[in-house]
Amino acid sequence: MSFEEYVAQQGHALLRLAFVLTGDAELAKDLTQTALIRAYRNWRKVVRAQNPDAYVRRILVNTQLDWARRRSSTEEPHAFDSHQGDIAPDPADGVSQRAYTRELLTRLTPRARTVLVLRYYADLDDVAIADLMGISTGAVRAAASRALAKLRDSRNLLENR
Amino acid sequence: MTEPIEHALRDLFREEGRQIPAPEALAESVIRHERQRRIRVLSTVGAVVVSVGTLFVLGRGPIEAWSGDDASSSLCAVSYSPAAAVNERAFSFDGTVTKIGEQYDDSDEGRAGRTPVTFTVNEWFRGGSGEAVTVDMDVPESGGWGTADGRTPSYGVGSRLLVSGDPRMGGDPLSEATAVGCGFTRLYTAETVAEWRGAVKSK
Repeated sequence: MSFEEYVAQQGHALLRLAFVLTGDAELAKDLTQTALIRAYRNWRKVVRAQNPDAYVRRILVNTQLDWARRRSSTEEPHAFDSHQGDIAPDPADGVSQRAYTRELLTRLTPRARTVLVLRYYADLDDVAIADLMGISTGAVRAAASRALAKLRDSRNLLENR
Repeated sequence: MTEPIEHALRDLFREEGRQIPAPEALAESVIRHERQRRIRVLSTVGAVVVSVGTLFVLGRGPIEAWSGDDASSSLCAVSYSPAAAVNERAFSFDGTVTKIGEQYDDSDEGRAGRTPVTFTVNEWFRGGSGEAVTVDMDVPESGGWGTADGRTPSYGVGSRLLVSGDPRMGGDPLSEATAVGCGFTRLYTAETVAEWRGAVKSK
């Protein structure tokens, strides 16, 4: 498979994944292009891989985590629970509910957010997620469990207000 | 059992995924970007080679050209001497090859044609102290490690070499350590190692 053929088949899916991971269209474009540049430089290795698409997604996910780590060293960290009042929507407003959930997601650690995206958007099982992120299956489960608990608690707090 | 929060996440992600339109000319932009980068890298390398060569011509004498019979052999901007190998390179050692790694890909950040080679170090002359070290070298079959008066066309696991070189991007002597050719990395002989030792002492 040539690089051009691969991008024609998978480019849009990669861009969508990048957008769901970052929540920012421009950042998603940059991320996708950066991942594809890295894949292109190692294209012989990519096509030799058992699953070339998983190989490229691994590059994309790890590039995103790397960028997130760099951003986190220059940005003020968010406290997960202390600012909920700032972003709480009207519970009757479905669109705001979605925005609220998105905002809560941005307050998770990059690793936790990535685990959730790979599990609930990319529909990967925990073993595949662990392989993609280069961490253990246990770490995937722990990150998902903690993240879901935080999201659940925040939504419960909102509903009980 | 699927929880409401999991449903909410699936809905949210699916909706977000639908929002992003198909990219235009993505492969073409990547390939164009890479071509431009390679041109920039080649231009930079060319400028450095010319600068080093010019400095040498102006300051110390003629450039000693590689005299091997390989048409692709490189122009050596500086002449080998034992003193230059052990005093002017960032690192130098006497080592035995224990592992030859996988060759870097063609476009791997300026390391094209090189391969990581691990040595057991018999003796350090400069720049390190450990019992083992890994440096980037031309692949064994390149024949790029000879000298004007005696080519050493290849090396392999078990070869004993005298190696000198520099960090690829500057910094610590062994940061992306890269062996230098043009005689600065050569097969071990008792005579040569004695010359290298002598050169260190004469610093």
